[in-house]
Amino acid sequence: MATIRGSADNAASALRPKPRLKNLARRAAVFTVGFALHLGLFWPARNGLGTRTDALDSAPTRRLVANQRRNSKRCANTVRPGAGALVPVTSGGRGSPHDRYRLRMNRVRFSGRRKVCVTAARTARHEPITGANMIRGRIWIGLILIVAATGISALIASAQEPGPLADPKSQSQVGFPAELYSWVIPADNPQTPAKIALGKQLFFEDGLSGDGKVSCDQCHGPAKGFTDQLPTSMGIHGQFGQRNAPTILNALFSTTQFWDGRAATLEDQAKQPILNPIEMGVKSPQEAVAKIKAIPGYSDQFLKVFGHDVNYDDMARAIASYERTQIAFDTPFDHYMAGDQSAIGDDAKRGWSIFNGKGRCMSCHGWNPTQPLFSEFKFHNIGVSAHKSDFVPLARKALALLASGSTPLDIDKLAIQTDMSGLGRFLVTKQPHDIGSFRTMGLRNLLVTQPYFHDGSQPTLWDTLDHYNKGGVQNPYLDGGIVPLGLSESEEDDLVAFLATLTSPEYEAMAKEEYDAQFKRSRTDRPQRDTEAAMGLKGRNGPGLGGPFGDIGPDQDQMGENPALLGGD
Amino acid sequence: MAARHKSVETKFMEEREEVLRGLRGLDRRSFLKVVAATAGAVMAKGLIAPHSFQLVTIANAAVEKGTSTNGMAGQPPFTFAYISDTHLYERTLNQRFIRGALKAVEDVNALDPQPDFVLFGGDLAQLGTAEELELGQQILGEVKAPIKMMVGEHDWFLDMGDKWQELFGPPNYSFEWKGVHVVVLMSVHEKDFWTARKMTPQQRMGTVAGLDNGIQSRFEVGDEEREWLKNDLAKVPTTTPILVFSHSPLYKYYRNWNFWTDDAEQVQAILRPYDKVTVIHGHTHQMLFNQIANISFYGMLSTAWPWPYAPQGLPALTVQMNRADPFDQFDACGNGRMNVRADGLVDKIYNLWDRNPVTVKADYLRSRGKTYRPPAPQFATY
Amino acid sequence: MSPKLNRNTLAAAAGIAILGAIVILPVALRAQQQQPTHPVPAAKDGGTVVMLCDGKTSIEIKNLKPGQQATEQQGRAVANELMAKWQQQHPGEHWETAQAAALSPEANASPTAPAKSKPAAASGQQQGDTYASFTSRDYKVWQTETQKFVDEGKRVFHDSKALGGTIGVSCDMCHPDGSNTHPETYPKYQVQLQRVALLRDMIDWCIENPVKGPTLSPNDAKLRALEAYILAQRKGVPLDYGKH
Repeated sequence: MATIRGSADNAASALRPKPRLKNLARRAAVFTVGFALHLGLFWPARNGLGTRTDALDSAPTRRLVANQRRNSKRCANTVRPGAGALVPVTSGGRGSPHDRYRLRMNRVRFSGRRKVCVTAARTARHEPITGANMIRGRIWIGLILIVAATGISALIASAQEPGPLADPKSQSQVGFPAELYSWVIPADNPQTPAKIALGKQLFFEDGLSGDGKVSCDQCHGPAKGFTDQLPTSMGIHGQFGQRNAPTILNALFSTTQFWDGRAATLEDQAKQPILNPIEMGVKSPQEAVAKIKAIPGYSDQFLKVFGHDVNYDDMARAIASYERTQIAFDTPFDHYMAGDQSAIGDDAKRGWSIFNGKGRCMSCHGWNPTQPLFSEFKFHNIGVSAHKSDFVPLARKALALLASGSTPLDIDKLAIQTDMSGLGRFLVTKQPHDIGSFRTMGLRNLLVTQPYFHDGSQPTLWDTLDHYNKGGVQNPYLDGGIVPLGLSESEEDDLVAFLATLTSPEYEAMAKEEYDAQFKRSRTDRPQRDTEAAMGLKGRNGPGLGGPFGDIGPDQDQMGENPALLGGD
Repeated sequence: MAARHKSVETKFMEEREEVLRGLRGLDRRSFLKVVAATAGAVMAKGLIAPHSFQLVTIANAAVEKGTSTNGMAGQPPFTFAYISDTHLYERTLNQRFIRGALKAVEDVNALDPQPDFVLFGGDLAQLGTAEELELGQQILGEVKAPIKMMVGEHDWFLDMGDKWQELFGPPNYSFEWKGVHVVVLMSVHEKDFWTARKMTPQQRMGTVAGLDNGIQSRFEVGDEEREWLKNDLAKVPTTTPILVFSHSPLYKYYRNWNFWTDDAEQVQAILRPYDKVTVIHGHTHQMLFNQIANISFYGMLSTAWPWPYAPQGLPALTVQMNRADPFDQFDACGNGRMNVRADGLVDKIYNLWDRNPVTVKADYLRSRGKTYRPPAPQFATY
Repeated sequence: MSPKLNRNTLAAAAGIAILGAIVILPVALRAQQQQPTHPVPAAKDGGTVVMLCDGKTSIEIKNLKPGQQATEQQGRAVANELMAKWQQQHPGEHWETAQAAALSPEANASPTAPAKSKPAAASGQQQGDTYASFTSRDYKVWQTETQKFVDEGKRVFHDSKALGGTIGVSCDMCHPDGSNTHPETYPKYQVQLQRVALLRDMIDWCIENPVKGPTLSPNDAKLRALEAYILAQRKGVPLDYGKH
């Protein structure tokens, strides 16, 4: 009955996760040391003292050169010698010990996006071996070793630092809702610098997991908008869950946490992934406490901050405290609403107008100066999981299971690990109208928190808009507010341009890159688009059920009677 | 101090606990039984009404156990569903109402087990044109269970019922069903208001289509049809449960909006001799129920749009539904099902779209609101 | 004997008739007109007291002995003085309407008769046609105009084509008699708009969404008429802005 999605299911759509920086550094270190040893010990022996090879135009050399050319064609992006990567210099043919190192290099990706194929790039450099050369060779080896060691230790050192994106953010950002902020800080967990520092440490603490390798930032990495930019997240032992990791940015302002609102506060939320068997995999709160106690320094910190030793509730409080420092405003849109007419372009202004009018976005993704989060924090079935799940038998199953009495962790397991995840809010409230309903998410920094929706099924913003434009996916519980919208291509482009202005400055560069990539993709690859349905043309020509359809309003220039200017504010 | 008689709820909660104790490690058949029992228990509490994913028969039996069974002992209980007030326009003009009607058809077809029949509650068309009525016939043709049609004013007053009768037969009729006598009335006759004003058929239909214009006459069953009803019931013994299907409410709720039947008292008088009479009516597009003497009244939901509650005349027994959200075309609309118990009384399940279903029990109405009160809405209503 | 007697009798009869007329006629006339009699105050300085027919304002002409004829100048001066005196007592009123109001049979039944619309300040002179000085005729015109505006709103409210709707949906389908519109609760945070709205903003939203018509400008005549109709249905309901 419960099926755990294996990594195989995700292979097609998932990007392989970026290896931990520390793991990379470790591997690189191992490699360098081994390589250095090999060079120092085996290379001369392999070639043998006194082995002479002729000049560069010898047959072996010509073969080598030909190999290089051939190999560099095999791989689109070849790191050529001298480009900074560690490339083995070898004279051996295939099957030599050098090949092992070469192959290992091939498996390592340096950046999460493009495969960097390090081919068997062999140099044509081939010097005759003489005694003098040997000495020179060993001097070079020594130098390389020293440089490498420095570099790698620097890598390791930097890998341990979360980076500036993880720092607590300033509250003097344009658009920051000070009033709302004062409402959401709980009385029993006020912010203090020491608590925030402790929380940050815990957030990045690998030891807080079953195998000592997973920390919160694996799924909520600061460099990736506090998400992992994967469709669904990977936890302990490479297991994948059912839900997309929401961003920590501005999470403090939400009225509930998780896609189905099963946690009321950030404190409640922090306690759940730690204990989930496929997320961080700690068996019990006691075990988590023991793990943290075993790491030097924590006990003292807990004593200083909370006045008593490590305990699970306080751990959650500290983590929540750190998370409450992750606020992200100061966007071009915030500047525009503050009065700077030039802060956003005309396309974004049109998009904002459509957002308020024809797009019907504002009714759920509401924005106002007091609560500028682009969400009313309610739950709606917009038909995302409908195309994967058959709701009726699923709900039957769920009702029976839950009737036997459920603790929050049971819901957590159902939500993350089983195919009942698609039932959404229903798992929490057990109300029929909540079947397939998920929380309205905010719209800030979308271009660094892709892919989208609770299952990460939509990789680009254009895909999400196509989903809405055609009226979602029909299912018996589809919210009646989801109707075909009749947006044209340029209107969708304008909407995305508007959404792009909701990016905070620290993510601007990454967002721009992502926008360009998504834009390019959107010109050719639009699997969700259904123009007939969007324009209300699908209509009923005869008997037969299925397919969205509805009435589209008359064509009207959105900027003429600009709905963005309607009403107060 | 243990009560001598356990309440229905207590009995069911105990049964449920017993059953669920063995929940883990069940085979499939037992598992389904568990689901059903849970559903029954939950439904008995009136919390969640069974819909498409609940097994209804067992739930029915569960409800029945706790109620009196004088009268038609031995008759099987049954259910019927309804789709009402679809107000279809022509396809090229408006798809929203078509979508609502189809959603209702989907809901009804997904019921498991299937209802005995499906009542269509009237106002199939909006302006009574042939295209609209034929479109409605096409859509209702997709319903799996047999359909019993009832006429509403929007279907009638363009051509005074010619097309309707051509498609669906006589506007009033009766039949027996599992020991219950069912009467379908044409209760939206109106005294002639159009000849003196020299109205065209379209103008007459337009006037009738408007709820608040005050020009049209109030609905009535009419002398002729009351005679017919009297004769029809003449052969029916007074112990037989009666089901009356009517478009207008057969009582007087709000005159200005024609939530009204002018000869309601006379119709009620004809029904007075019978112990158990339930009137199922349309036209009001809202959650509405009432009890007058021996007659329980249930209003049906519309699939097209909801009416607000009238400023006066609302029956005291009605528990209102929340205000509709105009952002959501389905809000406060829906369809529903009636469970006819073995004793012939009727419980109604309002299947409100985008909201939780609400069950209204005959016991609630007949006890004048003392027991089984449906859950009150959470927020301010009208 | 007859000729002398006839002449005498005729003369006597005529005399009696004339006398009778002199006596009876004023009485008869009085009965017809029912003129009020105003007691004229006595003259203090030996002059003639002239009184206006409002029965209150009077003035004494000092140099005029009773029975003496006044000159034209004197007459005019007296008239001006009397008028000034009357206007002092009735600041801002018109003597014609006062006279008409006093004489007309509907004097009691008239709604906001000018008497009721007297400005509060009793002291100080307010002259001319100030804001508050409107007549029943004005009121009638204004009422008619307002009702026309509301009726136009009612017409548009009940007609999907007039609303510009494209799917045959009109406002009265969900709001018969303008019910469930709650105009007295505006301004309020309108959840469909996710902003603070006034009544006409919500009307516009409804036109765009359930009615599927083009949005109207806030100054559009039809939109304002719709607003008028909706407000008119809630006469007497206390204002309660922000209520949800």
